Amino acid sequence: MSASVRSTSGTATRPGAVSALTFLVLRSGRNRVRVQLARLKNVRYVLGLLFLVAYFAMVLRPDRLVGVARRTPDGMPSALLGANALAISALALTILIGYWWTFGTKLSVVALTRAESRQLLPSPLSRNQLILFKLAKASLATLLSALILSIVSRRASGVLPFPLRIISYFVMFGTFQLHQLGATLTRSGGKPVGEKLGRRGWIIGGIAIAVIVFALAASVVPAWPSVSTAPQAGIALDRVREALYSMPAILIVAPARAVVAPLGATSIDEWLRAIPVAIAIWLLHIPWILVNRTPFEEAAVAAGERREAIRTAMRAQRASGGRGIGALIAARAALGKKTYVARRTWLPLPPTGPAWMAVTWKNFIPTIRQLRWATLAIAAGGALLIAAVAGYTVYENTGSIPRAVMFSRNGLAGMALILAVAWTLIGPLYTRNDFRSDLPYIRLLRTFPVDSGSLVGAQIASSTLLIFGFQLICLLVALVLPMQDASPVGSSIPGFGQRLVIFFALLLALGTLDILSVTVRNAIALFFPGWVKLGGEGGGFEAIGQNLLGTFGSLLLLILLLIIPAALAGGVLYTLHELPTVVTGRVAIGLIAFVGSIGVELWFLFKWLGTIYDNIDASEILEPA
Amino acid sequence: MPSDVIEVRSLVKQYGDFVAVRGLSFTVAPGEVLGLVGPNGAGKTSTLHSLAGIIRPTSGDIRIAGHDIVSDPVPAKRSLAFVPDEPQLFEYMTVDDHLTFIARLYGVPDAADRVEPLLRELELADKRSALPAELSRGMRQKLAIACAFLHQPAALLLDEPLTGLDPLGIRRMKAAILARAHAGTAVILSSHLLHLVEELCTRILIIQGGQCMVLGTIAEIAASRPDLEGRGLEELFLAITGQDTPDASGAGIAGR
Repeated sequence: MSASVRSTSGTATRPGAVSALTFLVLRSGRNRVRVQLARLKNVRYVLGLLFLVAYFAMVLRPDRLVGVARRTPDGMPSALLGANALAISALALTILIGYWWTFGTKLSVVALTRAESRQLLPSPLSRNQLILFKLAKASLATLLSALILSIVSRRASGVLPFPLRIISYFVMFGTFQLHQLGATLTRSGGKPVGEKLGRRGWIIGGIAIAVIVFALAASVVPAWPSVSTAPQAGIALDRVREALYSMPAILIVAPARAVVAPLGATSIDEWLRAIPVAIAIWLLHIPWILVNRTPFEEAAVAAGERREAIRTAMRAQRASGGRGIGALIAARAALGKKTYVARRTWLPLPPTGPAWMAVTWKNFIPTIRQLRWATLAIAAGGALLIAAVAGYTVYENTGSIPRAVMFSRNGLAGMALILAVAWTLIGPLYTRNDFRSDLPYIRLLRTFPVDSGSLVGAQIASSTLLIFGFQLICLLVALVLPMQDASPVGSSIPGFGQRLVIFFALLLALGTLDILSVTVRNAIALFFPGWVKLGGEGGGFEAIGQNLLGTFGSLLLLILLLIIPAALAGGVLYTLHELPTVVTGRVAIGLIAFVGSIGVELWFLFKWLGTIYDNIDASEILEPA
Repeated sequence: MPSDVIEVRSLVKQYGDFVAVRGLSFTVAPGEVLGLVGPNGAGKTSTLHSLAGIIRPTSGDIRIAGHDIVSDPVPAKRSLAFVPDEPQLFEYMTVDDHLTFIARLYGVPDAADRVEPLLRELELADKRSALPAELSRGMRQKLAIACAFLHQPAALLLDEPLTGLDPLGIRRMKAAILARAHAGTAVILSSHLLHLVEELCTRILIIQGGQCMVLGTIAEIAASRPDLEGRGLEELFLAITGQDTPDASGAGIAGR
């Protein structure tokens, strides 16, 4: 009998634990691959594989992994990240780190599955081994992300060969993944992760925000006049970089910059100098996490006990006359466990009307229940703060309060506009209250008296309406806030009438893109339910590469879907261009043709996807845990 | 209105080369409770899933309240309710939310009047604001059953409906099922609890290997096997499915 086998029946030894966990990962991985490959018996999956191969062949071209790369104007190989891009990336990641320290995260990376908590927690494994096992598993996903990004960015730099790019991305993602975990565990300070932290959470979050805002403001505000008066955007960015690398901002930006620095290396020598620092930072996170492991254990082990205690307290509350959500709150308060509480649903649903609307309503509920108003308020407050700082610097330069107000308002409007447009790309990725969340419930969905085409429409409407609703608010801000004056900047702002036209045009364009984009993502989920990640969460830092791949694929399909409407609208405009009609009339007819053809396309698409949904074998999908 | 609410003719369900259901035919009339029993892997779940429209039959006809479940699924599904063995509930929807949702889905105009008595009947009245995670296994089962009862379906399919219920809950649930049957609902009840099947069901369908072994009342089944006259459903079941060996009775184990 081998040593590893003996160890499973006797006292736990390290080799036994390691070999058992390795066996678990390898055997599960092998069987998973087998199951996935077995799906190729289905013609849908064969088509999917062909599409994937064609996609890689046409877009990514693996044969050119070490091919011609981007060069600087003077013929030198360019770095993957330029100096300014490196500085901005470091800044963005620093802000993200501040967010983690302020709000924590869901820790999906180390969350134990039901099987793991039932089988591994009672087994003779130390907690450190268990955590390291989860981290090692998560690293596999990170490695895949690094691989994908290395392929995608193969032509962005001639400095780093393929393996060095993989290492750079892997260390970067791994470090931020571990930091996310470490920050959340440290914040919780021994309490089970997921519980509200009360004053402690606010103090840590407040300190994090205060340090970041103070350090950035102290460095960037004095430099702002030179940034805002720079003759070119590139020079302005150079000055921003210099400000970020000056005291005190450098103190908070430096760690993130050190981790990203290997990607910004301009030579192998520079990379060799940068990567040991990045690896050291990465490795230092592991003891930090192991020291703070108690909340992780608590979260996994005590969840069942806690739930039972709350139930008992609720029974007592209700026996003494407490009712409804109030009893739940009172029970939790009595236990000193101010955990997540379901909000009341303010969205009414009349008992009669189209049945598909019930599905859309149902899909809104998780969003309403999980919405973090504090996060939204802080984001809005942050935007206001940035606008106020910018306005103040204008006041310092010009001494004019109206001009400072105008600058602030236009700045806010600009941010809202950028966010509205960017949300078309980001929104469909993270707004998943459609088939991506609902397909695990397929056995229940199939019993609903709703025809499959309508069900597809209802699911797609759920996500689209949420994404579009957010964009609508942003666009309204961008419509209402801007101000004009006689200055060069102020006079370049379009008037309200022009803004109104742009507003409606953007509403139409973004709405169209939203619905098509959500449709494409749902179509992928319906076609390959056994291959894509289903459920409410789309994956965290470790899945960035896979998400990027999905986004590229969706954009490709989106372009294909837009070909016919665009050609039709173009044809209409071309046909009408010689007719004696006013331009706006022709544009309106062109738009009607564009939107109408997309409507027809969607109608057919929903019907078709409905038949795909009808033909899904329910066994392709795992039921919700 | 057809005389039989549930009509199954020559139902076949095949997964690849494996045939789970082989030419099953039966009907269930209004007010009738049909017990669907069989050993593990007999094809009970495949049959119920086919009836509920969850999976598509390979061949054969299924009609619910006169509507074909494959070609005319929406009216057919509007007339039926299916309670699975493991309740599937939406994690961020309270008890009230689930019932509001079901009411709209099935178009129940007087839902407000029905909800309160239903919640009282199933002892969920004080759980209206609870999320599924805050309910015990039995309460979750009751919520799934409340969702099934709300639209007063013509056909009710129950797969192990009493799992997780306490003795009082079981008694109340049996009364609730019988009340629906007396009101004219056609019920199919699948369970391994043979005493429950014996108590509630007007007819029994025993299947094995996807095939109908016997269909009829207990008296009719016993009459077809004179050697088993006077025996209960458990003995009938074991004899018909060929599991009445000495080892299967447990005597062998007890004697060791």
